[in-house]
Amino acid sequence: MSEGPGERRPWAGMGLLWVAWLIAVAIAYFCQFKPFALAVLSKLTG
Amino acid sequence: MTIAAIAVVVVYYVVAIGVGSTILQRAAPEARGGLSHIVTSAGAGLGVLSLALMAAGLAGALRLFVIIAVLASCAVAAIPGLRRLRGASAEVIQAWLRLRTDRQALIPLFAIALGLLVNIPQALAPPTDADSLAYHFAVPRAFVDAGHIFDLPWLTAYQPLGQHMHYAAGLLLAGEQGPPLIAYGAFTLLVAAVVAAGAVWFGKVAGLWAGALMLSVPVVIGTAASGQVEIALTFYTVLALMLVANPGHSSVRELALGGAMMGLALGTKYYALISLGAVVLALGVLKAHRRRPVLEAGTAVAVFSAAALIVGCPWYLRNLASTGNPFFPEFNALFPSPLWDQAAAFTEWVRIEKRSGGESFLALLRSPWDAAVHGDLFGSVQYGIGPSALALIPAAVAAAFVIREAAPVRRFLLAFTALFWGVWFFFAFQRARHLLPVIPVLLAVGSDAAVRLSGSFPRWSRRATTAFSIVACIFGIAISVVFNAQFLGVVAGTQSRASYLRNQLAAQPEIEWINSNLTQGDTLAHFNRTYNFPVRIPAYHLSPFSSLYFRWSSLADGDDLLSQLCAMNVTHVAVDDEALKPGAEGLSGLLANHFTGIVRDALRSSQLRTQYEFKRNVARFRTLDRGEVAISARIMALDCRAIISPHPA
Repeated sequence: MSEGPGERRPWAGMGLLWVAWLIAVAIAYFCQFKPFALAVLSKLTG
Repeated sequence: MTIAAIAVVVVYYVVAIGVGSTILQRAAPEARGGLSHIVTSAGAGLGVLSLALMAAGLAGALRLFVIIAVLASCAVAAIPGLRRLRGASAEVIQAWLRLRTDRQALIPLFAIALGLLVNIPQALAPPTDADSLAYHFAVPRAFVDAGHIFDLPWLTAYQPLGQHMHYAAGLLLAGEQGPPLIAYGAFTLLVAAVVAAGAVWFGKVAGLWAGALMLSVPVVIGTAASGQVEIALTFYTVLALMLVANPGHSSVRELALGGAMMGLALGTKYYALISLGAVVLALGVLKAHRRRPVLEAGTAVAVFSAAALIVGCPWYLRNLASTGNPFFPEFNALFPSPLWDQAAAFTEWVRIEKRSGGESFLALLRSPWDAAVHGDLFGSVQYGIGPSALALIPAAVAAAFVIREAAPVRRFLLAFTALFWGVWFFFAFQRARHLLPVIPVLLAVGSDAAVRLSGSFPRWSRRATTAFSIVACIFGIAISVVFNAQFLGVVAGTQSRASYLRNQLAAQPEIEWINSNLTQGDTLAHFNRTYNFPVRIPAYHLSPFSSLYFRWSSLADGDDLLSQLCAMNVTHVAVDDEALKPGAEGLSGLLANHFTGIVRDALRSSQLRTQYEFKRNVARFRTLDRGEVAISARIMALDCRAIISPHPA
C-alpha cells in the first residue's frame, strides 16, 4: 500500500512516534518490575 | 480426588452452558457465531444456576442433594438446546482449523492456549490469598455449613454474592478444591468471551489478539483462580457489551439479553453499577447516527436498564431487608444502617485510601500511565493492568476520529471506557483491578485500531506493533510461569500440603494448632481475617472494621471485652501482631485506637492463660521475596469463672 511509485508516502513520522511510544511503555513497565526481577534472579542463582 | 473435583466442576459448567443454550434458543434465537453462542449460553446458564442457588439458600436448602437436584433439572432443561450447541462447537472447531494458515491469527491463538495451560496449577492448589480466605470463600462456607443464607455479621457478607453462590456449589460438590476450580472456569470463559466479543465488533483477528493480550494482564493472571470476583464481573460485562454493540443486529431481544447480562454483573459486584451507568450514557453515542436517534437511544436505554435491574435486583433486595441499605456499606449517608457503625468506618477508609492515585483532572489524564507502570499507586504492581492496554490507548483514540468502518461501535466502546474510568477515578475506590471491565474493551478496540492505522505506516512500524504484542504475550506467559511455580510442588505431590500452607500463610502454624487441639465444643475469638476459611471450629472474627458481634465503641476496657466474650461462650482467644498494631485492618482514628487499646488491656488479664505461643520471621509478600516481617501470635484459654456480670450485648 505504500511501496509503489506514485502511491501515497508512508506516514513515516507517525510511524516513528508510534514505535517510540511502544518502546517507552515497554521500558517504563519493565523498570517497575526491576526489584521483582532482581529478587527472582537472586533466587534462581541461589 | 483432584480428577474427581475437576470432573465435577466441568460437569457444572457444561450443564450451565447447556441450559443457557436452551434459554437462548427460546428467548433470543437470533443467529450468532459459534463461540458467541457458547459464551452467551454460559452467561445465561450460570445466571440461572446462581439465582437458583440463592433461592435455595434463602429457603434454607443450601444442601448437596438440592444442588444435585438443581443440576439434574438444568441438565434435562438443556436437552432442547444441545443441537444448537453441537452446531456452535463444530463451527468453532472448523473456524480454528481454517486459521492454520493465517499467521496473524495463529500467534494469538497459540498464546491463548499456552496462557490458559500455564495458569492451571493455581486452580489445583489449596487457596491461600488473603481476601479469598477472609471472605470470598469463607462467606459461602459459612452459608454451606449452616445450610442457608443468613445474616452473617460480617461487612463482607452483604455485597452482591452471585459469584459466591457458585463457590458454595463448588464447596458442596468438590470440597475445598471446588471454589478455585469454579473461579478458573470463569477465567477461561472470560478469555473466550473477549475473543468472541472482539470478533463480533472488529473481526476474528482483533478478537484473538484481545484474548491473548488479556492473558498478559497481571491482575487477570493473579486472580485467575482466586475468589476475587472481578473476573466474573468482567465476563458478564463483556457479554453485555457484545450483545448491545453488535453491528450485525440490534433487536430489542438482544438488548434485553445484554441487559440481563449486565444484571448478572450487578449481582456479582457493586462496580457493575458504574458499568450500567456508562452503558446507558454511551448508548446515545451508539444510536447517534440512526435516523431517529433520540427515540432509538431512549428505547435501548429503557429495555437494557429494565432487564439489568430486574435480573440484578435480588442481592440488593436481600441487603435492603437485612441492613436497611441495598448498597451496604456504600452510600451510608443515604441509607444509614443504625446497627452497623462499621459502615461509616468503611466509608472513611475508602475516602482515605482512594486518594493514592490523586484527585485532580491532571491526575485523571495521567492515570492510564500510572495504572500500568506505577501499580503501587493503585493497589499493587502484581494486580496492575499491564502494558498492553496502555500501549494501545493512543491508537484506539486516534481510530475513533480517523477510521469510518465500525465507527459507531468503536465510539460506543470508547465512550463506555472513558465514562467508567472517570467514575472509577473520582468516585470509587482507586484499585487497578477494579478497572478490569474496561481492559478487554480497550484491548479489542486498540488492537483493531493499531492494525488499521499502521496500514498507513511504514512496514518497520507495523512490524514493531506485532513485535510489541508478541513480547507482551511472552511477558504474560513468563509472569504466569513465575506466579504458578509456587503451586507446582503441592500440585505435583512433591511438596506436602502442610509444608505448602506453612510457606504461604503466616498464620498457618496457629491454624494447625487450633484445628488439631480445639474441638467443636470450644469457641474461638480471633482477630485475623485469614482464619475465616481454614479454621474449622466455631469462631468469631472480632474486628471493628468488618464484623459486628458487639459494638466496640460501647466497650469501656479489656475486662468489658472479656465479659462480652464470656457471654458469647468463647473459650479461647487468638491474637497476633496484626490485631495489636495501631490502625489495625486499615482503620484510622478513634475507633482503631480504642480497639487496639481495649485488646491490649484485655491481654493483661489473669483470666487469659497462654496455651500456645508462636514467634518467627515470615516472607512479607506471597509471591516474590521482598524481605521478612516478624510475627508473634498467642492462643489463650479464657477462664470465665471470675466473670460476674457480662456486659449486655
